[in-house]
Amino acid sequence: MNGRIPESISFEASEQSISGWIVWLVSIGTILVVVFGGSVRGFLGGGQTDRRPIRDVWRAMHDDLPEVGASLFLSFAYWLALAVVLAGVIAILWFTSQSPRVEAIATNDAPDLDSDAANDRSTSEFGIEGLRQPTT
Amino acid sequence: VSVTETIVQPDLAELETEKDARSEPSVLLRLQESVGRRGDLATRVLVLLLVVYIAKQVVTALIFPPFTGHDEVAHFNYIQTVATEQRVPVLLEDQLPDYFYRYCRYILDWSPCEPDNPRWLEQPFRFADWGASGVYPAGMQYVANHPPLYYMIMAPFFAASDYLSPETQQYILRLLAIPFGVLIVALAFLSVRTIFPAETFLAITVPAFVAFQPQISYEAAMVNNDILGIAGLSLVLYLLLRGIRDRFPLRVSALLGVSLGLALLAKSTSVTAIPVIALAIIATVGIRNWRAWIASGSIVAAIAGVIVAPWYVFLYRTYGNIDGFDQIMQLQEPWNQPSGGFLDLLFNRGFIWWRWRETWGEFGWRRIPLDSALLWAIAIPCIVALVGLMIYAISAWRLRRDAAGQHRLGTFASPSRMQVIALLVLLVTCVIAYLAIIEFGTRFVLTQARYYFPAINAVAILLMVGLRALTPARLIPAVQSGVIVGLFLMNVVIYSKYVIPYWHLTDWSAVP
Repeated sequence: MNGRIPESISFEASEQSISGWIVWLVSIGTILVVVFGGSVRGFLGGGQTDRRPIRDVWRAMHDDLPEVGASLFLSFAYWLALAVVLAGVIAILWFTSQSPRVEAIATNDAPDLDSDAANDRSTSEFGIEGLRQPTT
Repeated sequence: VSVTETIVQPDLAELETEKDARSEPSVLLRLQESVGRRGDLATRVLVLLLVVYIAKQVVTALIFPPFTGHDEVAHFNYIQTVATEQRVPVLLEDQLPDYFYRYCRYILDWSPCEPDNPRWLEQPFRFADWGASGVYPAGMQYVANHPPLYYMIMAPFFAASDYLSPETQQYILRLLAIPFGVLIVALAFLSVRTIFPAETFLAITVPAFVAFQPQISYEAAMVNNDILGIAGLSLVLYLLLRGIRDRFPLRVSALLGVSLGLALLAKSTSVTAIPVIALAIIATVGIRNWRAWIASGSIVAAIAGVIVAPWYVFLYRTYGNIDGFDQIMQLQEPWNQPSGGFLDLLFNRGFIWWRWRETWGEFGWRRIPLDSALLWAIAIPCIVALVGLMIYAISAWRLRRDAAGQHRLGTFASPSRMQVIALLVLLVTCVIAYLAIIEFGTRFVLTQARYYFPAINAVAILLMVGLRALTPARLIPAVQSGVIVGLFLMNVVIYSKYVIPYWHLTDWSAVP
């Protein structure tokens, strides 16, 4: 058995496929539309509600930041943190929308990962349909 | 030729038969180590996720006004006592300082609460007349029975910032909760990698679920010991999974004992880990192999016992019991009542729905409710994932039964014995955590969802395993991206529609 164990396996992100590009663009498009174009109906008190753009809500939050430390620094930290969150999520989505390529640095007779048989086996093994099929 | 990531699974499938899994547990370990070293996709995502998480937590700490977190004043005062008097406070003896009366709305229970009245601000109520119930002390320190580890960690920071206002100190202490949140997210990643080393989908979505869970994030931006308790139990769970994988070698058992001891010193809810540890050890080494499981269990118990014994001795000498609950009941006597009997609560739909509300919203003492529509929008994908988990369990069981000894185990589709035990242990962790809050509810009306938050990593892994089971290989990039988008937008909606309007846009003078 040990002869068939690859010595190491690394997951290297492949170049973005067309479907990956589509997933990424749809994902970040959804996020940007909601964050910069969306609105929410929020509670205002006295049974009143008001529909506000989401970006206005976060601006209002900025205007009501706590009075601790230097206000300029706090203001900078607030906008920087929000920018990091947004940019970070977009970057995460870049990776999650990719289909990683697998590199096997095999020793002895490690399986041929690029073979059609291996590909067939990999795609049938997952999801509900794959769970019905024993790996032999 | 480019292949999908799932190709790794057939490769893993070559690794382990049932027999091999017993004789050579290091195979999965080797693979896991090789996967983790190379800066693979999931590790890159984790690094980005942690950066996002820290930034998100800084904003969260700023959004909530000072001392509005659940019991934040009492926790702050506990730190203050440790830092300035080098002792832990005592129930029924220590009072909260007069200064904090201005935050009486967020304190249990400092009534009559009239923080806008300058007279009471100057000289707050110290007794409250509860009518027929009698007169009871008010403004008492009521978290003094909590174990001291969190407060001991925070005390030096409190002392170093003692020249600042309590509000500024409080924001500093809130920011110091963030590293515990980071630890929990990282442990979620390590835990799922221990069970399924090559499952990139799980290694991405599980830590993301934990990082964007709004109430866990809330705990990691407040002054409270819950977040340390969650981190402690997450560490216990990770070491348990390591132990299951490696059949509980001495080093892992010893580390497990240390982490259990520290978790118990962080939050007493960590006691729910004890039966889980026992189950994991016995299931892994086999019940007939009693010498082995008694040895491992003894190591864990002895080390944890040594760490935690001084605290329990202190509790017993101070209160005559080892939890201080009798004294808490005395403090809450005017308004406390049992939520119901155990079986009543177990099958009570209202009780379950309330816990669901507190799992995603409420923020503090049931302050910011989310709409039912949003709660259902969150519940439906979770229910789908649970259905996926059941389908996965049945399919994997059939696969193992039908092909016993004929094929290699250790894949996601056909899990090895180690992986099955690991998943069962996670399931039992969730069940015990939930039953514990029901048990607590039989004595206290204020039982609540956050007492089962320490099981968050177990919940995340099980839900994402269920989702993974329903996801065909070709759709993995879309589904894992969808999970990230969904979690992110859920937070945007919760904060934009509920939290920020509640604290910063509402004209409370217009509210009757």
